[in-house]
Amino acid sequence: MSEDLIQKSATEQPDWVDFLLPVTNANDTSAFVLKWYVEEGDRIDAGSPLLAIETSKASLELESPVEGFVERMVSEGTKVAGATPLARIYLSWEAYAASALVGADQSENQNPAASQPGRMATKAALELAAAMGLDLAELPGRGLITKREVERWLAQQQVYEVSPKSHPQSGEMSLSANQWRIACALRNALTTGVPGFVSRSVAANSLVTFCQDYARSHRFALSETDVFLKACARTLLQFTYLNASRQSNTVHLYSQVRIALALNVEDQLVAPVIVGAERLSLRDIATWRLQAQLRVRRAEPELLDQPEPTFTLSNLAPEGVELFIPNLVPRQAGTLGIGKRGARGSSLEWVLCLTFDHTIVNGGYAARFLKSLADLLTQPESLV
Amino acid sequence: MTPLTFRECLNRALDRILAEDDRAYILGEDILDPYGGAFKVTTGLSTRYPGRVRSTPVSEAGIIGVSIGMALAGLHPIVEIMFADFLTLGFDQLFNHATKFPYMYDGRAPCPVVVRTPTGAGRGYGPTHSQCPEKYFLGMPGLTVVAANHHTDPYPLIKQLQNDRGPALLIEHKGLYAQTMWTGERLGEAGWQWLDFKFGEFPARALSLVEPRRCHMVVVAYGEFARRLEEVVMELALEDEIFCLLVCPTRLNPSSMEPLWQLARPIGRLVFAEEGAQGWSWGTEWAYRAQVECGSSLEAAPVCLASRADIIPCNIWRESETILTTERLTTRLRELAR
Repeated sequence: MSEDLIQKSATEQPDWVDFLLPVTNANDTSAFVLKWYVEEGDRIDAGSPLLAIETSKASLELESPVEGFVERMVSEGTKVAGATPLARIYLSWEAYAASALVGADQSENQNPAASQPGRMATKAALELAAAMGLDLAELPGRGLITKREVERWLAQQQVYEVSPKSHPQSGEMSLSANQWRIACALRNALTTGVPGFVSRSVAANSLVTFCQDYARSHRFALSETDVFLKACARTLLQFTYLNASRQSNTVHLYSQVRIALALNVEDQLVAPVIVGAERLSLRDIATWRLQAQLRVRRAEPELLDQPEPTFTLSNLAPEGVELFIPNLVPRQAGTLGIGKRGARGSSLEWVLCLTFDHTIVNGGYAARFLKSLADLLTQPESLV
Repeated sequence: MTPLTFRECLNRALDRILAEDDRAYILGEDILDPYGGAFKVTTGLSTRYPGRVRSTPVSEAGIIGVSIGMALAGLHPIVEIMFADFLTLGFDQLFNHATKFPYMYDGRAPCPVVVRTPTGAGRGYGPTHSQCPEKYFLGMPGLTVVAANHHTDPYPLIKQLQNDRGPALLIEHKGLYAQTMWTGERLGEAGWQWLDFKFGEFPARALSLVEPRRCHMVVVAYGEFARRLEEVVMELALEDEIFCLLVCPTRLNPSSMEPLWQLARPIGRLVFAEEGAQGWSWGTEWAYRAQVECGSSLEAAPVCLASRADIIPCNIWRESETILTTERLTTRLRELAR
């Protein structure tokens, strides 16, 4: 059997070969498939009869060019043109098994419309879709819809692009309720809290590489903010006085970390709260963040009714900010601001600035917190 | 076209076998029309093939003994034992005679007797009409033990058993008769992906709801229990995103289990689930072989799930406490996936 009757899978170690219909003479460009000698999935030796075909001149018995497991690609009694693949022969049973199962999902002879109405989604996928306001009927592909399919779809959709709004050029405007609430809170913080500041820088390249690798291996776009959230949560678990809220001279400590993430959406500052991020996977944190951004954009009211945070994270590094001193939010123990300094590559570093409530902790405690956090950020693998 | 039930499919298979092969006979208790057998499998056959469907006395040793004689004389008898619980009365005929003749006469005395029998609980039939006694026949050299299921057309299955030179036992769970057959098309509509393969020379099917490499474990089950497991696998996937690759063999005592190991190796966890009583059983034997033959590729020791090793009560509520129900199975698999 000549090599040109075979097509191999494109990988370096071929998993299968396709066996094509030979053209026996110039007048015969097609043939009838008479009979298969093997069943679907049967093992066949090289040189054993695979199927019989009939041309206008004669009937021929075709032999398998290789040893393997057979997937029949044409049925008996059909007319096929020259060089049409007749069978795919998998070189290992494992390869056959893997493809046959996946193939059931994709193969043409299944009724593609039939599986659509009954397409099922897992509970987790339904919950995520509901939270994101997605219609799963629009999700492409076939088979069971799991949370992973929804996440991947979201990652492709980029529904988080902010459409630039036009700003009024002159005249008067009133502050939004949210702006006024924040303004009042910041004024209160100046009169009730005693802010202290510590800052340090930390090399950024390991974290940047980590996010890129994660995106490649998990096909899921992880933001650096997600890693900051988890690293902060882990560190706060050790530095419990910074995972605290204070009302006059009473300090509340919490068993779970409660971080507010400052988000600037369409010039509005909001801070959704994530509880227990120290236990969540990076993927779950990223999903939470995406949901939060979407909710903020839709101005959903549930943001006003959320658990009391102990600590706020504000990442302005994507905006090109080098260093900023974040405000202390009333009742919270600290706010971490993140900036970025240096060019891409080895000189790139994060600049962490922590504003903390000096009535709860002192500068040394805050500095040790930053040191621990910086250590984690240089070893992001430990967060997986 | 309305899909056939397993009972209808089996009835048609026997009809076709009687039509095609005039050496084929069916023997059993109360199998004549109009009664047509306790589970109505032979309905219409005694009318269509008078003399070749024979009602017998209530004597399992006698029925199997006579059919052995028929097989030695060149006929192709198919025996129906009304309840598998009474197979034990014919045990000696299988153990000391049918399995031994092909060997003792150096292949010159083939004995292709096919014994069909319903097993299993779920109906409140009590201690002696609800058991899964196949475990006592698995260790009988020379006997092919096969379990019917709603994936496999019984016609080629029985033909293959008849073509063997020795006797065969075909296990039919009572719950299976009323189930509709799963054709490929219906499987696809229900969201399943599947793979048909030969396992111990007999058909087997692997099913899952996601690609195999995303599965958390391989769950092996046979017969009606495999169908119940489909409901469990579905629930675990939809509720908890726990994904199982369900493997449903027909042959229960194959010599090589390599195809199963090839499916299990990349996934790393293996569970054997059966309705029969815990211990000294199909599951424990397969789990032992899994550990010996592919244990180094598994993340954890194989697990056997089965019914309590106890007498099955009549009271349907107490019966469900003894039998491994789908609820209990779901809970156990959920725990294992944690």
